[in-house]
Amino acid sequence: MKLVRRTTCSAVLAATLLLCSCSQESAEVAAGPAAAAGNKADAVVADGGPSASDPSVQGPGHGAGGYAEISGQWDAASKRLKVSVWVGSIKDLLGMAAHLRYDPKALQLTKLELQSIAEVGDDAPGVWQSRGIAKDAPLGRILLGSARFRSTIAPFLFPQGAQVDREKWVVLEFAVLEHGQTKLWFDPPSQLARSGEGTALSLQWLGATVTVPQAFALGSVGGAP
Amino acid sequence: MKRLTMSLFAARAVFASRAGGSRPSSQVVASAVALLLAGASALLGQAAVAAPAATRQVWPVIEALAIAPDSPGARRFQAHHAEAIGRPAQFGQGGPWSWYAANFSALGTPPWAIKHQDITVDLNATKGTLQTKLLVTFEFNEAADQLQLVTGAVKTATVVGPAGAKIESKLTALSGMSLLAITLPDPATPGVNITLEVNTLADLDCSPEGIGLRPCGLGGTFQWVTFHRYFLQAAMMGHAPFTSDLHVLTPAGKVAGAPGLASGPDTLPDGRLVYHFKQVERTDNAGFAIASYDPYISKLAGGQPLRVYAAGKYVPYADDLAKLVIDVTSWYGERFAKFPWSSLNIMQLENNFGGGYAPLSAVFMFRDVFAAQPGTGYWEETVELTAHEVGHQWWGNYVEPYTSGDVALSESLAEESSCWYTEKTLQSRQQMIGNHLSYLYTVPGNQDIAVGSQNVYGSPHYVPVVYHKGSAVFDMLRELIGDEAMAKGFALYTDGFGRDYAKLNDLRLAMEQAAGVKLDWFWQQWLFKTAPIQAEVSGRLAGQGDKLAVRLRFAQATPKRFTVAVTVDYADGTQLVAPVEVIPQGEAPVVVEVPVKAAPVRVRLDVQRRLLRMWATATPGDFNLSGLVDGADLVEMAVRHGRAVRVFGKSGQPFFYGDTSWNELYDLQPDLRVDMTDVETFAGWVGTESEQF
Repeated sequence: MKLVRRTTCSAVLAATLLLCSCSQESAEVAAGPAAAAGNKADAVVADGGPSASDPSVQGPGHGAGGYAEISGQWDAASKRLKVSVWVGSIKDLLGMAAHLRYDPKALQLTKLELQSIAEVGDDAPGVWQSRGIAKDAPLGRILLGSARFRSTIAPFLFPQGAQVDREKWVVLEFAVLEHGQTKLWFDPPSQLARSGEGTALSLQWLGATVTVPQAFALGSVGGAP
Repeated sequence: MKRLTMSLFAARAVFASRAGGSRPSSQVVASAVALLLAGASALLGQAAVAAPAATRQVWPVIEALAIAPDSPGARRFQAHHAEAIGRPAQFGQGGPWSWYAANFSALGTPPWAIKHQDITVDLNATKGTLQTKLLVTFEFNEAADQLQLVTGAVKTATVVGPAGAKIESKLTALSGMSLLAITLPDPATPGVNITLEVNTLADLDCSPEGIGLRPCGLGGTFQWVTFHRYFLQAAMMGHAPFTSDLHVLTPAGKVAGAPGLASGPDTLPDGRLVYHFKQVERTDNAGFAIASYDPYISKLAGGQPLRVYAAGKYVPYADDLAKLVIDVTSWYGERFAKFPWSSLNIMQLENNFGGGYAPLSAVFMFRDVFAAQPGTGYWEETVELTAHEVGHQWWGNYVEPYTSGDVALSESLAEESSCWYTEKTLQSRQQMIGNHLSYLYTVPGNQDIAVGSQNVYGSPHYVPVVYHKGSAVFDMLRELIGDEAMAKGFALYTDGFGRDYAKLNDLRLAMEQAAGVKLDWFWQQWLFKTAPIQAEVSGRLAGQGDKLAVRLRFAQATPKRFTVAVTVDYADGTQLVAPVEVIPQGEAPVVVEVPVKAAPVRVRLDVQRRLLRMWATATPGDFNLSGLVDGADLVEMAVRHGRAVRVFGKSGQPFFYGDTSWNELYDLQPDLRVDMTDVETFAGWVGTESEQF
């Protein structure tokens, strides 16, 4: 068995200020048992499909009202745990932010992509731009933030929020480093969403549990990329 | 007074100051940047990420800019010009302006003074002339045979003695006025009054001077004389009050309005009318207007007659203005002193008058104010202007500024009174915030002048300094000592100086007595020195468990003492507002702590803009003062994005725009606009932690 070599020298996943397209993902993800029936898993297909010994991601699933939730699945081909953060059922969203926490002893972040959200509203294309940040700093605390900005400014123009039905906010990939369970969660004091008028929006910030069965061969992962 | 939930915290500086404008220290975790592009985002182009600069510009460069035309700010600015003209550059500073008459006790006993004037004015709007007949009664404290008088510029003047004999006089032009030197045939006897008849003829020049209001108007609808001194003054212009009877000749069908108890009209043989106005108070502030007025007559709360002189289609709305004036006078009466005069007359003038003017027991305002109605868009500006001008019945008339360096006792107090009134009755601080921004963003630092400077009249920034900063200063005083003490202080002040002249320090003593605290530091800092608060602010969360505190550091280039309301928002939706006292010891930064129950979502300073200040984040982009530049700061930035206090006209010329939503904290590239440049700059600081302190 090839042992995983733990390292503190992670792949650099640094500050990004992304001008993203508004890619309306069609795939929906079952975040957990409570997720709506009919949701599909992330578009990650492993040879032969996930097995019981593969790592898995389980979240509580959202209730009524706005939410940010986590889903994911093991991808045997890339040997990575592919995780998505979804947001939805939010009216008048101007921006949102949080610190997504994970245990760097158990997981190693290998990819971090921020998707644009809330860029499209009732206005013509180009009126709004989405800006976001995603940075794993310090290790184990991923700084996330997205907001929409009007392309032009004028004294009589003020920020406006947008309707977000369900959009993928962040895509992450992890290498697994330990057996057992580890959490992905949004640090409570960092949870923030604001409307166009700047008022706080109450969202369900739903974390998830990553389970790495003892039967899973860590050595086959190959450790850090 | 706003009740806050915490006691004051003050702390001495614990860290040496650092050079303003430099980036955080080496303890800062710099951003190592590797961009990961989402597939689609690459197609649209990656926004450039600005690397943190080794040094950065912290404060904006302020230029003297005009106000954006047709903006609410422009209307306010125009409206508040008020008494910006018609005053001499210096009061009581020697030279020909230094004579002053025996009037109020503060002036002492001069050799002679004008006691009373009986004034008849005949305005010929077609010819643009003003013919005046004055019966001037002098009183003498010493034997004198030389009388020097000042009036608006006249081309002829003759003087006739008590016996009907012509008296020797000489007319000289003097700084846009006329100096009339009279030689009495015999020296006057102390204690014996003499009445002279003076006839003058003036060609009126009604073009506006400087930034001020039109001194007169000769239009077809309204004719008026306000700042042009149609009466005689015995001394330097500010200190020569006298009682008077004014008689205004009008064409048949016209009505005259002026300060004083109104009577008439009488009809002359040629069909013209004569309206009479008895001014029982001693004043040298006056004016009159003629139009097809239909006066709306009401009463103030104290029973004094109130007349609103509106004309034509504006007449039906006069009752709204009357109700407003009644409410304002009552409101002020409860806080300053009972309305001191026996009547109040409000006159409508042309829009080109440009604002408002408030001599004793009267107010003149431009036309459109008289059409405003509650609930309409123009009502707020109408209330602001009316409350300012009515405020002058106390400030500038009941208590007059002693020197030009005390003009804040007139204009700043009138404006603060108006702001106080609108804050309480309209539930809006828009007027005061607009005043803050006007001073902060239109007065270049190297042209700033103290509100209490003897030269403030000569400043090109007279209005933003005296009206806007001055009112903001007294608003800060009210915040400091509370509404109740402020009103008590005003009552003490008017009690001591009503119908007299006062200096800025007279008001200080009254306020100190009312509040029970020393205020000399406040007076020195805000009235006799320049500049606002400019502080670079850092925040951190200190402690752990249930012993958490928000630690704040204020670094000021020019240290000022202040108490700032710190607003802490928690994740559970609750909020803490804590007043924190910042008392600099020298130039070192001040560090203070505010105990908190949990890690805050954000920390904000002076949310209601009650301090005359500019903040900047010492850790650029840490807007919520968490100690870390993160996504929450980006969201806060989105809320403030798009605000600007500098806008551009069609041809690109920059204007000041008093955007009351402006928050300078987010102007990372300080160009007076929170735009995408600032957002891109923010990106370079993501992940930065504030230095330890």
